[in-house]
Amino acid sequence: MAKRAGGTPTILPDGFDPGYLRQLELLRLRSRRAFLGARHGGHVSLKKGHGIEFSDYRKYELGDNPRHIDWGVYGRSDRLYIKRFQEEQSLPLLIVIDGSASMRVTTDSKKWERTKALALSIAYVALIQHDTVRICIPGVFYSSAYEGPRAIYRIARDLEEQPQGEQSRLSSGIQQGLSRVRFPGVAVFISDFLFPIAEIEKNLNLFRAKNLDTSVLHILGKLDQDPYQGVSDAVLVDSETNQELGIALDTGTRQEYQYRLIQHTRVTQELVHSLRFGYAIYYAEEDFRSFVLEHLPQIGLLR
Amino acid sequence: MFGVSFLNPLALILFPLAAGILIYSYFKRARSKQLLIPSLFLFEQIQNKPLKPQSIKLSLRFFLELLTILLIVLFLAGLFLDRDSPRIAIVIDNPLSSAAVAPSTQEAGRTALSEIQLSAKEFINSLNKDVRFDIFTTSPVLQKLNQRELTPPSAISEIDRIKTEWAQSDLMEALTHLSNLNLYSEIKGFSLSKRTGSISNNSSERIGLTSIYSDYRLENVAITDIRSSLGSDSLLRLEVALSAYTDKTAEVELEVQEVVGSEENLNFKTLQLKPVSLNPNQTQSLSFDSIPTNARLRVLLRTTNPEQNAITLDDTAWFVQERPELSFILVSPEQARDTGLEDISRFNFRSVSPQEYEQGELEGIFLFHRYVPEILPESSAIYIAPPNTAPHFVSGRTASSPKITFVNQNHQLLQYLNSQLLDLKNISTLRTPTWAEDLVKTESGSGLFAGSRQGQRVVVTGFELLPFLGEEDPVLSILTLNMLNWVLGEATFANDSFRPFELIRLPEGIDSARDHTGRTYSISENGAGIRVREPGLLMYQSQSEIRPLAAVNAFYPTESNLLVRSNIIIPKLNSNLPRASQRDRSDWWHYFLYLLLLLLSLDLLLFELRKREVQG
Repeated sequence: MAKRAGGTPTILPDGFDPGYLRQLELLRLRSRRAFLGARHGGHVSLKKGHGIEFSDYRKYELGDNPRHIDWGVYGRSDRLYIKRFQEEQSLPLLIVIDGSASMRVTTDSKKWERTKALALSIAYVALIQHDTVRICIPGVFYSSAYEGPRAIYRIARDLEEQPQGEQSRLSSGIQQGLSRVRFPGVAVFISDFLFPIAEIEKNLNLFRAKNLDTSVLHILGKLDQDPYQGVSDAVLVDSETNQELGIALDTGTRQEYQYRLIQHTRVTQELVHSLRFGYAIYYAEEDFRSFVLEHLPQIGLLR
Repeated sequence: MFGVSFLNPLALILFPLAAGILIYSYFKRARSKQLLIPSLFLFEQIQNKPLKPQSIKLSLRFFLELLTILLIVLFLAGLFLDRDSPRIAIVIDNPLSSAAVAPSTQEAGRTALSEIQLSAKEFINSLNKDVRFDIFTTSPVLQKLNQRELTPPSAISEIDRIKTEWAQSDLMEALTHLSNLNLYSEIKGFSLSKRTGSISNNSSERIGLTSIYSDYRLENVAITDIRSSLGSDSLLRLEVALSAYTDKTAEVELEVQEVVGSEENLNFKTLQLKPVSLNPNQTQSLSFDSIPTNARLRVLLRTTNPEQNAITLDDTAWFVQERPELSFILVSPEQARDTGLEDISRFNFRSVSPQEYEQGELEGIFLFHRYVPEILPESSAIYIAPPNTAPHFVSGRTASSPKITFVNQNHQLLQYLNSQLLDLKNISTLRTPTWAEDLVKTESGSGLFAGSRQGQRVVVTGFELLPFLGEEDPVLSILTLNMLNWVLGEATFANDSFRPFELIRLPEGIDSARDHTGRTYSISENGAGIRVREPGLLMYQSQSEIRPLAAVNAFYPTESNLLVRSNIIIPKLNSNLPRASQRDRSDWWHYFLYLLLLLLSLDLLLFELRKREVQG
C-alpha cells in the first residue's frame, strides 16, 4: 500500500503480492527493434554513442576525441578509424487499453479487473527498468509519462478513477493517443476485440503507422464466452449501445454463437500476425500472474 | 350419435380471456428478462440469418398450457354430451296407501306397491338396454335411491327393494321438482291412484304418470281416533273411532290388546274384541270398558271378510295412558301399610326396612322415612322426619308447634298449597346445606328445604308427613304429592300420539328414544327432535329411571281414504327431448381432471427438459 499525494491510500489489485512483484522485477521489457530513447536506460538505442554494444567504424575527423580511435585498426591499415557504439537508452512503453463498455460490463467485473492487472504488470516490468510508461484509454485518458517503480501506484490509481469509454470513439481515441508519442517504442493494446474485423484492422494499422513494436492482448471474459447465464429466453442488451435483441438462446443459437466467437478470434489473430504484431489471448477467469510470467515472454513482449 | 352442449355457456368467454393472459405472459416472459452482455456484435451476425424460431418443446409447452386452460374452461362451462338414449327418472309413489291389498281373490295378498313395482319393471324392460335410470321414491320425502346411474337390470333390482313407508307423499310436488331440474329426458311416475294437482312447468310434457289399480275400487277402514277416560269402576274406558272409506258395508273386528313384556320383546294379550259393521263413509265409535289403568295398549283392526274388504296397513293404533308406572323405594322402620302411600295409585312403592337397605345395593328413587343412611345415596330422594340422631340435615333441636315465619310460595314444590293452613306439630329443625334452599322456616329453624345435590333432587322435611291421609289432611297430602312429583323431575309423561316421520320434540334432558323394535333414534335436525319411521311404542331414553312413553300411530286422513280420486291431465310423452343428467356432467368432470393432470405432468416434464437444456 502506498499513500497518494492527497493522502488517499492506493492499493494494487489483488494478486500483486511481494512474491509476484519480485518475479516481475526479474523480467524485462523486450522490443524487436531498437528505438530512440529519451534518456539513458537499459535498452540498445538507435543512437550511436557511448555504450557497450559495438556498432561500426567511422573515419576519424577533426574534432573527434582521439580516445575513440581504434589503434589496432590503425596499426593494421595505417588509417585512423573511430569505433562507434550503440547507446543504451530507456524504452518508451505505451499501453493502450480498450475502456469501452464491453470491457467494463457490470455483469462480468473480472474482465476489467484483469485488464487493469495485466496493464499494471507490464507497466511495472517497464518501470523497474527505468523505462517510461504511458497509459492511454482511448477517448478517456491519456497519461503523461510514468517513471520509476513507485509510479505503479499512480498508474493503479489513475486506472481506477477513469470512467467508461465509448466503442465508437475507439479509433479516434487511439489516434489521439498515438499522436502524443514522440519517441516510438513498444506498444501494448489490450482489448476484447468484439467489433468488426475491419475496425480491428483499422485500429491496428494506426499502431503500424506509428512504427510501434506492438503486442496485442486479446482478453475475453466469462460473458463473452457464455452470454446465456442459464437463461433460455431473454432480451439481450448490448452494453455499448444499449441496443436490444430478443432471441431464444436455445442449443442452436448457442452453438452458432460459439462458432462465431471462435471464427472471430481466429481471424483477429491472423490479422495481428499479418501485421507482425505479437498476439496472446487471455481468458479473464484464468490466473493473470501465470499469463504474465509465462505467456508474455513467449510472444516476445517480456523476457 | 353425440351432441355437445354446455350447462354454463357463459363460462366460455373465459377462454379468450385466459388464453390472452397466457399468450401475454409468454410474450412478457420472453421480453421481460433482459440480459446485459458485453456486445451484441456476434449475435447480430447470427440474427442476420433468419432468427431461429422458438424450440418445438417451448411451443409444445405453450400448446399444453393452452389446452389445459381450454379444459378448465370447458369444465366450468359444463360440457356434456347428449346421448340419443335418454336418462329416465322412475318415481315410485310409496306412501302408506300403497300397502293397500288388492280386493280380488286372485290377487289377494298382493299390495298396490307390488303392482306399482311390477308396472315399473315392465316399463324398464320395454326400453332399450342403453337407457339409464335414476330411481326415486316419494315417501316420506322425495329421495333418490341410487348414487350412480342404473342400467335396466340394476334399476329393476333397486325397484324390488322399495318398501312402503308409513307416511304420506306428494307425487305431484316430486314430479314438479324433478321436472324443474331439467336433468331427464323423461320422468315416469308410478302411483296407486291419480293424484290431485298439476305440474306448473313448461317441460311437463316430458312427464308420464302410470296409475295402478285404475280399474279397481279400493276400500279401507281406518282407526281415526282413540280417547280414554276413567270409568266408574276406576278402570279405563277407551273410545275408538273408525272411518269406513268403502263403497259397501265393511265387516271388521276391533281388538284391544295389552302390551306386555319388555320393549325389546313385545307380547300382546287380548283384552277385548268387538265386531263392527260399517256402512260406506260411516264413522263409528266403539267403547271398551274396564281396561286396566297403567296398561300400554294396542288397538288392532282386522277384516272378517278378507275376500271383500281390503284394509291397508293403517289398521293399528297404539295407546299409552297419561302416566307411566313410576316406582319409589320406601325405606322406613314403619310397616308399609301404615304409611298410607299405597293409596297413591299413580306411583308404586316398594317398601324396605332400614336394615334391608343397609344390606342391599338398592338403586332407584328413595323415600326415607324416619331414617337417614350414613352415606347418602347418589340419587333423588325424599327425607321425611329424620331422627335427631341423623348425621345429616338435622340441627338437633326440636320444637313443638313452632310458628311458621317464612314460606317460599314461588317454589314448584309448594304450588297449589295453602300455606296458611299448614300446621306443624313437632319438628326437628334442619341445618340447610349450601346446595339447598329453605322453603319453610319457623321461629326455631328451618322446617323444609329442597335442592339439587350432585344433579339429583333432594327434599328434606323436619316434620312428619306420613301416614298419607289423602283428603283427610289435604294440605300435607298436596305437599307430599308435590314432593313426589318434584323429585321425579316433573317429567313429561307423554301420551302424545304422533305419526310416522312426524317431528317429535323430546322432553328436556332426553336426547334419544327407542321404539318397540329396538331401533334407537337420536335427536337430530339441529336438536329439534326425532322422526320415527313406523308406528309403535316409543320410549324416551334418560339417565334416570323415568322413561316416559309415546305412541306413534299411522292414520292419515288423505292416505286412508283410497276412494277419493281426482284426475290430472296425463301429458303425452315426448321422448325426443335429450337432456343430460347431473351424472353426465360429473363423469366428464372426472375425465377432465385426469386429462388435466396428464397435461400438467407433461408441462412439468417439458419444463424440466428445457431447464436442463439451458443449464447444459
